[in-house]
Amino acid sequence: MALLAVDAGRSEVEVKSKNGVLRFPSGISEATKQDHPQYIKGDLEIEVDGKKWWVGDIVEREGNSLKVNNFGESKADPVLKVQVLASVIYSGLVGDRIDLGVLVPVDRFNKEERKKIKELLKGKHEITYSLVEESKQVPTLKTAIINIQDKIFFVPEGASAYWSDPQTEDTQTFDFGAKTINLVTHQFKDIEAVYINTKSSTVWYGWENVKYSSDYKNVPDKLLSDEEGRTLASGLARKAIDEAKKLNWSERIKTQVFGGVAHLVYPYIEQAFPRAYIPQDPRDGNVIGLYKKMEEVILNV
Amino acid sequence: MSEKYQRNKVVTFNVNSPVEKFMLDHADNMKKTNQSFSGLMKQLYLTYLVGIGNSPPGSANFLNQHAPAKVIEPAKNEVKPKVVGGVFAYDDDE
Repeated sequence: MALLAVDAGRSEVEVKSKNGVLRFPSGISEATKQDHPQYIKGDLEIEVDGKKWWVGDIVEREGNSLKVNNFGESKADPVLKVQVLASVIYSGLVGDRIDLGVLVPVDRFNKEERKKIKELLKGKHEITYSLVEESKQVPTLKTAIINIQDKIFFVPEGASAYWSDPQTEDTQTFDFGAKTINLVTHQFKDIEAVYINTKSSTVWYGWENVKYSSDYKNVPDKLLSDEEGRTLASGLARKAIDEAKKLNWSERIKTQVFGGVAHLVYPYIEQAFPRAYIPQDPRDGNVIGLYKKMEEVILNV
Repeated sequence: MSEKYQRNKVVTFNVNSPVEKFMLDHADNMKKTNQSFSGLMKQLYLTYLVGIGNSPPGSANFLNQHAPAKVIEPAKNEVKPKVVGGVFAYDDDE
């Protein structure tokens, strides 16, 4: 048995297992014939339900039919299945029975959504795959059965991040993603952190959205100037603060800032919430917290 | 008086004087708490030399090294208290 925590975001998939934390791009692409295969470490070709997909950096290099999970009505998209199976392979857990943990936005943390995801992911999945483990080495084609336990562990995004750095006082948590901002509140009583649903929600607007609405749609983050980054971060933080005010968040309460853009939005968040801080692993907080919670509940650690 | 104080002829105490007896007892108490009485004496002497305009080379460093003992706060406990609870779902089967 092996625990596997997967945070399948819009931009990247973050994974934690007993073998550590890893990330790979969220976008997948139908695999086609390559005229000049380069065999770069991490390139993965995987056949799931009769369809061949590329996963990893190869998608940006070679893929011409990019597929992403649009997080429409449900996160239970076939793309999620490929991402989870790829996570098992990248984590070196092929052959183990997998206890899987996944995240859903706060507003989607309901039975219907969990059921859809469970139906998509649980059970035995017969796949073939080839993973480039060392650059320039031609990978071997392998067949495997990936066995995901029927019981799947779910935590809302943001609430999971809180568990990467739980506090012995009331805490408000911002979790900034590419398509969403999750806001979560926990009240602390004795040794227990109690999730407060009325002070938690999802804003369906994230870093990608603020870029799109500011005409930076096709500008990679690394090519943004500092000033452009600050302008976008300010707009994103404003959305989050407006939602926090609707939820009656208090400026006196300790406030966590998670997400890949935590350092960019923090100065603006701090103005509204002076007790704001960035935890140690703001980018991987969700998947680290999910794994910790799974250890506690499933393994009684 | 201990042998150490007799051999070290820099400072002697007259145990018949209530004030000097108090100073000797206090010096012994300092030793018990790992504070250096001789370090304090040397610092006072150097301060005196500096005060009369006769500071030896390196005296500033010496004074810093032998500054009076500070109260050191106990190290904070890095092991975080356990927090339980939260919201999660593991098995929705009815």
